[in-house]
Amino acid sequence: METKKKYVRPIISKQQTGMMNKFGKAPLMTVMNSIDNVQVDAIVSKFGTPLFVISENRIRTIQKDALRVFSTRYPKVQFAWSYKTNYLDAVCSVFHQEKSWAEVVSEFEYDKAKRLGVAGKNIIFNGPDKSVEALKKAINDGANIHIDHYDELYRIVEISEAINRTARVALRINMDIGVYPKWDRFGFNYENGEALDAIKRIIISKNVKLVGLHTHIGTYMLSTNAYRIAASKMTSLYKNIKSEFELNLEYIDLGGGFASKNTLHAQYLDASGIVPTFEDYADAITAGIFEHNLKAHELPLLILETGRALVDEAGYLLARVIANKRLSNGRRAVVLDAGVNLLFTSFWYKHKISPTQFYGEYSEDSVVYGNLCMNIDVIRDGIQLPPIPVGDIVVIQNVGAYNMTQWMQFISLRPKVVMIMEDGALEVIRDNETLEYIAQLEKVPSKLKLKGY
Amino acid sequence: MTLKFFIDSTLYSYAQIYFSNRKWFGLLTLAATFIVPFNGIITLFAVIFSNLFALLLQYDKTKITLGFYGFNGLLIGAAFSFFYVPNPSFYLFLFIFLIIAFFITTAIENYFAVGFNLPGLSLPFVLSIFLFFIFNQNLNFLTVKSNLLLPDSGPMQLPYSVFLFFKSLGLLLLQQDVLSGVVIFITILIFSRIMAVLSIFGFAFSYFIMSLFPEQLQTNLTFTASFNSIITAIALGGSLIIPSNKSLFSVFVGTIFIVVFTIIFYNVLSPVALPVLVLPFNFTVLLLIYSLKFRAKFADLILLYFKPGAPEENFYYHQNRVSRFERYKFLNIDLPFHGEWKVSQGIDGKHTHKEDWKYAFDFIVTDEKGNSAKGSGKSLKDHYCYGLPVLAPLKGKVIKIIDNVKDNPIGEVNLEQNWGNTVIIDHGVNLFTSISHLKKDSIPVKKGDEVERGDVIGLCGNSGRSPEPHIHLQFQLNNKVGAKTHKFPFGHFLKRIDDRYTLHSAEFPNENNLIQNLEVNSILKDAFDFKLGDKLKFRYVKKGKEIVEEWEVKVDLTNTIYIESSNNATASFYNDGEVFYFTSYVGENEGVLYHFYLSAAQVPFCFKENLTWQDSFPLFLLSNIPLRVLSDFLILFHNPFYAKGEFSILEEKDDHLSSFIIGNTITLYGKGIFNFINSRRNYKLKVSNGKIKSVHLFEEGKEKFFAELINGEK
Repeated sequence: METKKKYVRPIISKQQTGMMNKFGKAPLMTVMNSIDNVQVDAIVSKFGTPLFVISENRIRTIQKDALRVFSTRYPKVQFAWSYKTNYLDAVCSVFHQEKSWAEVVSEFEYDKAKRLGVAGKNIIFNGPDKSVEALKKAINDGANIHIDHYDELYRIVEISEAINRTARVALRINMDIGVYPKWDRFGFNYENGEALDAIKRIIISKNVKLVGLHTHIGTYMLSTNAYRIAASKMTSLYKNIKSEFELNLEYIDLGGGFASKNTLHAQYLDASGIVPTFEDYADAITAGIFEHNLKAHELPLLILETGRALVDEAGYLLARVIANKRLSNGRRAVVLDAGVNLLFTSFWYKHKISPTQFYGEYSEDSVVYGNLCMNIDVIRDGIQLPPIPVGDIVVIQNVGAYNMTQWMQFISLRPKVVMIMEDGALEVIRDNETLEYIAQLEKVPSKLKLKGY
Repeated sequence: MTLKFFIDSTLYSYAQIYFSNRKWFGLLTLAATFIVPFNGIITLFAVIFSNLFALLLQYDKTKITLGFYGFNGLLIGAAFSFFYVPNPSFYLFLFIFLIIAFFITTAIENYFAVGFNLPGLSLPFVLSIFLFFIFNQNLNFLTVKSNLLLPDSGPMQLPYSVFLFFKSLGLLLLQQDVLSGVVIFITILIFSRIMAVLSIFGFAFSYFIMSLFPEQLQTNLTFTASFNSIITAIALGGSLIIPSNKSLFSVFVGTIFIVVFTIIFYNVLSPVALPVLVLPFNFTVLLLIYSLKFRAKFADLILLYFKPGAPEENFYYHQNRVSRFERYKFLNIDLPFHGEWKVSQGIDGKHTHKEDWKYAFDFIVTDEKGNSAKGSGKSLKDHYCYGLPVLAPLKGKVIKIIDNVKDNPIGEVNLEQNWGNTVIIDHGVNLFTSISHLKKDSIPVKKGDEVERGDVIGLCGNSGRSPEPHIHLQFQLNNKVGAKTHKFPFGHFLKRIDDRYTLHSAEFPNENNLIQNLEVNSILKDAFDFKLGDKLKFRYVKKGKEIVEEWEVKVDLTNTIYIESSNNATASFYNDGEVFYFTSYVGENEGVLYHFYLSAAQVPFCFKENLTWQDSFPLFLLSNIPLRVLSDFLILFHNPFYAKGEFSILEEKDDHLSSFIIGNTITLYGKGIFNFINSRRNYKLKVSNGKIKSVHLFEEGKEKFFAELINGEK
């Protein structure tokens, strides 16, 4: 029996003459009907939509690749998982199993790492706001505290003397690496000698031990040369401290900032073709360090706080089409059941959205909206999509970084997060929110209690 | 001259006769010569005279003490009292010929040692006594005793062969009485079970061979053949060759030689009225030992290369050295890369590592799935290893560089410039490393540059006969590109299988092994960084009493660094910057140093989860005396006992301190019927913040020993 051909809604596209695109035809829409060999339909039928999905296998593979790339170029490499990128316990645990330390930027994140069992000495405590209580904890635990400003330095000196414990600290350095905007709001400046002054201040204090240098040159850095300059300046400082103060620092920390495969709104070309690879970053960084001719045994440990580039590709958001409509200018709009409250990164990226089945080879310029009653709720503007019927599923890709930390409980409840384990099993790693969960923190003064409304 | 020197030199002279280095052995042998008191007195006089004479002429005091000069004098004294009826001129000639023998001894000993690296054995004695026989011929200043062998004291009702054995043992020292032989045999048995077994084997085999000869020959030569065979068996079976079942085989060969040469020497010497004495022994042993030095391989029948002890000591010492890679300690070669690489072709590889080039290694990088490239792998850049830094595996001087060969596209080879871009490093000890197929124009060093271990010498490329990017490394004995390869091991490396790592030292990685260098952890390194003069104090409780044991790090004349404990134990160690290992322990089987020695026999300064390593231990450090004696008897055949240590390292989940627990499970095994000895002990050594904190021993889950550091000056 001949199967009935699937009905595809016809599209009328405007002929655009004289506006040829020198890069040729836009790439054909790719269908994504499975993640790690697990059918998207099967996932959705079990857990519903919207749904975040994280691939354990992808995380491990990417982290292993990154570690391989760096460790075959430099003898001592340590990754520190950037909690703010994705601090779901299960995700952090995978990174810690892959031998990553924890890089935290707040007391909340610090406590989260400790709660997971990360030893203090394997925690890097960054950020401009560390309370006295948090510093006390970190000093007691032997965590590596990265100092952001003088006031923090004085606070650490005070606390470490008061509790008579040695504080392990590193200095956050900002520098001119030829990239703008210059990130000089964090740390101590390299060029004007502020960093060296701070180092001198640390060295004379009895209970504060300088163990490393830290910099973070920016985010989504497309220039590898910036890393070479940063690594070179850091190594130069490391070498100066060694010769001037006879102090052997344990590490230099080059922070994060490696770009992921997501395309920024401002980028014309697809990111996957132009973003530097781990190899490119590693070549640049090691070249910067090796410029200074240190002997093999003098080389410091190289710490990397890579976040985005390790986890973005491992995250997916599954959403359902709840409406198709036509805007006043004739453009097509697709409304999904997931909004920017879940997908914060929509503000930065042109997210890649794939249908889960083949709807024919014709696509139409569309705008994808979320389900919020807000005008800003645009998931993706200007995307070529085939006609996807209401009720069908789309997969939003490369959403592993920053979304599950910056999402908002707004209007509706946040959905489940599911991890596809290496063996293909599906595990809920964060349950969906419920009204009770949200309401449990709320209190209604008795005079406001409603009776028989 | 101290009394100690006097006694030591005398007793060691006696002990030397049977290759022993124990004073009590000398004392018992001395006693054996006093069975016939006159013999004893003359012999003792000869020894003391020879040693004093050497001292007077200022010969090396150490050699005198060890009995090198005394034992030939001893034999001269024994021979005089054995052969001749004492009369006034007896003493005069003994005196003169002791002096002659002394000079012959020093001359021959030095000539053999310098010229052939051989011991002089008792050749000086044989020559000297021959000289006297020749001197005495026709003049008869001294008269030879009418019956040299009889009578024997005591009612000894022994079977003839047993009698003959003891008699021969005594005759080695030119003692007439069978009782001397019995005393000497008991002495040997206490000193070394192997030596006792060897003496019986040597004797029995020569007795058997002699029984095949005509009766007349037997009457004349059985004694001579017997004592020569006994001493030859001892020399070849365990005292000059490391004992093994192969050394036992050499005893059989040696014994056949002895019988043959006894007959030859008898035929030559009897017409000129000279006795054969120990000439066959000297001839056979020197011939065989000298010849064995010229073999191409030394896997079996290993000649003693250290200060000799009892055969079992020789065996254990050698076994320890072989199993513990000490002979490579002067060169510690690293792998030429950062991170983990895979051996894509090893020694005797199936592609190009053949014949003269078989001892070579090819390395590539692979990912988790085992792929060496990403994507299609069709471009050089797809290959993970392409462009990675290649390092000097050991310090040295760059003596040759080829830097201008183009990298081949994937799949193509350049057979004209076979080796591609190559760097050759001269390590200054007649060993060269050649690294090939580097990327074009990637070599940052120049000819003549001195490089340190770990310096970048180029980038991995695909030049020369290389279809895909890889590093080719070979060790060689000259500076030529493409020279014959030389088999030489890497110092230390880690091998990974799944998520488990094992430490390998002085080994050759095999094809498909995933290997990497050790990443030195400074906390572990500091803890084992014992420096001369360091003092440490430990506390432990023994039978309810608290004991404090103190250690001091010292160095001896041979520059061996060792720890000496307050209860007189010493443990020599070696630290090559990557691994700490003990080389020997001397002392009682108790105390902190003893347990530390066992728990830290080998410690890499490297922490990885799931890292394990192994070591073997000499039996005598782990077991009680009966088992050791039993084991000694069996060494010559097939040693059924062995002790193995399985090490592991854990990081303590402690916040502030960086602590590691080094675990060592030592298992003592007995094969087959000896499995009743199987036992196991667990050591836990705690290292924290650069110090050894405590040593813990558990047996069957029960704590048996615990010591902790109370004070350490480092």
